[in-house]
Amino acid sequence: MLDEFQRRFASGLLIGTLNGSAPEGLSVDSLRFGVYAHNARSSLTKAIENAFPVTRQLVGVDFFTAMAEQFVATHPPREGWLSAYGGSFPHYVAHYRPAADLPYLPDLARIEWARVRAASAPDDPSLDLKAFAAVPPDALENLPMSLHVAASFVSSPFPVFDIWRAHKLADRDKQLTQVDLAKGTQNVLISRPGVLEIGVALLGPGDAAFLTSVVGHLSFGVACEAAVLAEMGYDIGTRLGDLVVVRAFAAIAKNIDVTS
Amino acid sequence: MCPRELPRRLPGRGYPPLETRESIHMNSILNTMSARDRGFKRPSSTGLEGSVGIGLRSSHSERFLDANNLPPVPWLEVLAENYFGRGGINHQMLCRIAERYPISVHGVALSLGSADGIVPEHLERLASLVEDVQPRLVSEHLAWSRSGEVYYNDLLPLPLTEETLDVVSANVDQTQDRLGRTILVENPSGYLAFEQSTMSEAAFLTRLTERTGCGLLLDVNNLFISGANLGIDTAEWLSIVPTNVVGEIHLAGHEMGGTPDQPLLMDTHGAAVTPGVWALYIASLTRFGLRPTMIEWDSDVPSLEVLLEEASRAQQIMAQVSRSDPYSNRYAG
Repeated sequence: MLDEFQRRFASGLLIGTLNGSAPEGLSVDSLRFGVYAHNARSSLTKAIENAFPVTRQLVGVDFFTAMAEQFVATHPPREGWLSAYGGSFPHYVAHYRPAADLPYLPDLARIEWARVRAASAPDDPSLDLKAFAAVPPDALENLPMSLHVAASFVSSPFPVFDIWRAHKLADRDKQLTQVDLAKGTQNVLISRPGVLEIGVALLGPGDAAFLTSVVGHLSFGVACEAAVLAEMGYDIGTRLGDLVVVRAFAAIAKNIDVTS
Repeated sequence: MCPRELPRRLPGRGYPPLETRESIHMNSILNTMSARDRGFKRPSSTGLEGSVGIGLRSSHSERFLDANNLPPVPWLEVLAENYFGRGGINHQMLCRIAERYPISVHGVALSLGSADGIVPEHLERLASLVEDVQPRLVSEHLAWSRSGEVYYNDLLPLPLTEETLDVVSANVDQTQDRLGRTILVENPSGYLAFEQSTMSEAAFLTRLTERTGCGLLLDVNNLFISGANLGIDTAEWLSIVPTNVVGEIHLAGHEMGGTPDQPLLMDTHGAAVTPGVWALYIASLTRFGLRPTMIEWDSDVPSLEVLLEEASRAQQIMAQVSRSDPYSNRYAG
């Protein structure tokens, strides 16, 4: 009985017009039912707004709200904590027809979601250079590497880092700098370099190739080869150090930890 | 997990020290619980009686990390689900704040009213947060927010029937068993009453405490709103609920809504406490004693100073009630 009641009640919360009647079989006042429907929709829409502030700034409040409301109705949360809500929004944006003339929008949203993840991801250990240095040379080649759970790599055919940064700076300077869309591809690393800090960094082609291999679960050896091929004179030692400092990588898995 | 063992709490500045004496009131709550003998470890006292805390909001978090200039508030309440990431920045900040302030953990999405039970993963995350910050109080709502696999992020209303009482009791039992402690259950703000309900909210909550040993969190603003929207007699509500089960009080603001034909009070948690709610607060303190009270302001969050001012007003009211009513004063310890 209660189960059936809750399914009926829930069926009208996110779908249908707000001023419409209450769900069928539920003998309640529509205006009063509408208070709950409004609260559910507006709080979830607000959660998406909070997670994607730059995307919202770029398309404007009305456009974003319409897009977020449709997302909420079709992709409601499956977890009861909102830091987990919005992961599929960039994909949704990519297929949202009214936004089709903004092809860089999904990648911008991906950067924003990566920041949400960076903020709330578990405090897993990150790659330690000492442990890395202790790996015997013959094991290094096949060493599997992976991104830290707080780190994400966004590779875009558009200058999406410039777009993101221009809007962030516009918040501060009240002026939006022009971004040259012809600039083409940009690769971005989002991570948690410090305990209370989120980093968003633009990467060169060598770093990008290295991280693409890491995301694809390829070994350290393969990642190095890809990096050197992608960028003339890529200095693996220096670059790896820089990426380790911003905690891009997960700690070396215990079963291949050869330091002990 | 918090990064290191929590040191002893540092006394804050500018507010009365927390009482550590055993409270007559808490003993009476604990005696009620012993009837069920749930085998939980019992805190001798929450140590928060007679004091007014505020809700910790992310825009103010950094103020509570500046060790040389800690805001003068005796305790803080956090929304549990904001710290469910099992790590990360929010969680790290909370761990640091919990070293300096007593914490109350307030859940909003456990969905105690869901007919298909508690989601184990949600309860596990709540348990690990409780483990990390060792809160003085843990609370949830008489509401549901999930049906099937979908969360609606709102505190949805329940028909108050025997079946619902069975469902909520089982869910509260499961929660308390997992946490190894009792929780407080809050009265929600009501916009809808159901014809199938067979008992009043006060009767329902009272029976819930009898069946599970849980306590109640009296949200005075919610009670005021339900009074206006559903015609609940608030004085009767206060007189039905036993004095020894209320473990905490919430205060918040509301706004007018609905239509001219059908006005409704809307629980926005985004405004100052209204005169009517202050009056009901005095009646609540007079009835239940100087329960730990918290200023809840969730949307359009103002400056910390505004929250502290509201808290100080509640603290003054507590002092007045305590002076004018020797009966409630007994519970001040």
